[in-house]
Amino acid sequence: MVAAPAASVALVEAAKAGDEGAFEQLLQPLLDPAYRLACVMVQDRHLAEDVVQEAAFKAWRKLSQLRDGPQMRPWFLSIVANQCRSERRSRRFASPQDLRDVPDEPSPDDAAVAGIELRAAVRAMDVDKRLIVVLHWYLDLPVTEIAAISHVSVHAAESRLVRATQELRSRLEAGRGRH
Amino acid sequence: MEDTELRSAFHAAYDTTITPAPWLAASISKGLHQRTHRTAVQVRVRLGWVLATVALVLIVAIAIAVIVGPRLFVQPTVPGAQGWSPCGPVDNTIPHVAGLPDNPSPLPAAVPPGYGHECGGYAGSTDSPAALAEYFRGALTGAGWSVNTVGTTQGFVVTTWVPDPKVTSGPEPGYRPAFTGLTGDDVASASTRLDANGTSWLVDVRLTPQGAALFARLTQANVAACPTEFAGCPERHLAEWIGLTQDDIDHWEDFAYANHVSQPFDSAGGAQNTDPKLVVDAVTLQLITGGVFEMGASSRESADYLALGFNTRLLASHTQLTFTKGHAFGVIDLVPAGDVTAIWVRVVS
Repeated sequence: MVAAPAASVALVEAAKAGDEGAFEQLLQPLLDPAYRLACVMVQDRHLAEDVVQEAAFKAWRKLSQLRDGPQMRPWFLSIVANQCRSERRSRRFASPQDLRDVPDEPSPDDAAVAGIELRAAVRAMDVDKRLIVVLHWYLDLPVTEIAAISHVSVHAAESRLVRATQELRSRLEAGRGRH
Repeated sequence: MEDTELRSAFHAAYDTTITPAPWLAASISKGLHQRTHRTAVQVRVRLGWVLATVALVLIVAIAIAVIVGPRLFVQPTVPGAQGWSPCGPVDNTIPHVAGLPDNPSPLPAAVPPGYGHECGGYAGSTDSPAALAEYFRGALTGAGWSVNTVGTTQGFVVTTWVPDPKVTSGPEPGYRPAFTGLTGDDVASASTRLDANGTSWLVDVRLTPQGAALFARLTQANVAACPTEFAGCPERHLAEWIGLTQDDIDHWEDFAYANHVSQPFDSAGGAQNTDPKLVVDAVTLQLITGGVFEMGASSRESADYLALGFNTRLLASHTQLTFTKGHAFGVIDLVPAGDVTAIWVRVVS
């Protein structure tokens, strides 16, 4: 498990007072996991960048709601997750084919095939389950943070994680059965 | 698959496809600075406008209540013309017109909520739009209606955004819309569908070859204006409107005017001089060369309205009459469709 980086109390207070530089310092270590989360959730790298930018702007406006520094990562990632959900309703100019997933090029390599199967299985899950498995298995977050990001109790997050993981494993098994 | 294997599989599957975005931090920093500055300016301007608007609304509300209040309850009717009787309740049927696509949606469901209190109908004629316009002008005037405008109107138009520091409202404060030349005339066909998640309605729009070429140039210019930035870059947007006019754009410095016109076209318009006209202020994700793109719609009704409007040419350039009697307001659209002219009538109370 990856522990949440402790944000400096002084930085948080400075950011709440309107210091953009302090806010950017707080945000810097969170951009990579936020971007990775968004990429998996919205299935499009350009959209993911947009999602993270919008989430950052919303976080800046809502900074007064942040209680203390160690809560920064789950708090920001919950904004990113919400932005990913609302992105499904957003309006954009795009060719229909451009909104699909990153293309999976056929490859004889076993690892590449396994990656394709796993991405397809994750993509087939509903948004809430996808969020849980990505947070846990890809971003390596502890259940306490997953609970905070999903706005549920730790117990509920554990239950959801177990069910989502079971579904993922079933999908992977089913996918292999077809080949 | 064991837990450790599953975790490794996730990293193997995604680390290869998700490449880092080192420019993201700089892009956020720039956008944050722009938005913070813009918000501060907006708050100062808005405060003054809010106070002035509240005072104006109070005066107008008192005047309406005292002078014209009782007349608000009079029900409007469509003027009798060419054998039509006043339509009274909303007409739920649309007769098929030769030369037009079959219309699967009844008119009321296809009309945006802004035209809520209406009665209307749809029919066809072998007369030309110009001849019908003259006929209706005479019939309406004879029935006591005041015919305000007769002329060519554009339904669907696409604009870019050009910097203008005098603009303080609308979707892009600091920017004014500018026509691109892409209009409903450039749309060959449209259809609706649900998105892959089954939750949101989309309109697939197919442009004519000429429209596709223009759209490609526009999206290319969008991307070139801001190659790495999406948010906070109005130059990378293309806005779609229903019925936006040059007169609207000329009033864009008027905070309240631009703000009202920039509301979603399918939101309630109310008894205003203008209707909300914005379909979408869309970010261009990439160069689009195929002349096919998708638009999100807020509801099935709005998606149907757009697709129906494109396919029946109601959103292309056509002849339009507007007419008033007292507080009632009506529109007649005369749309060329092959050998016939489609006639749309709606009256709004």
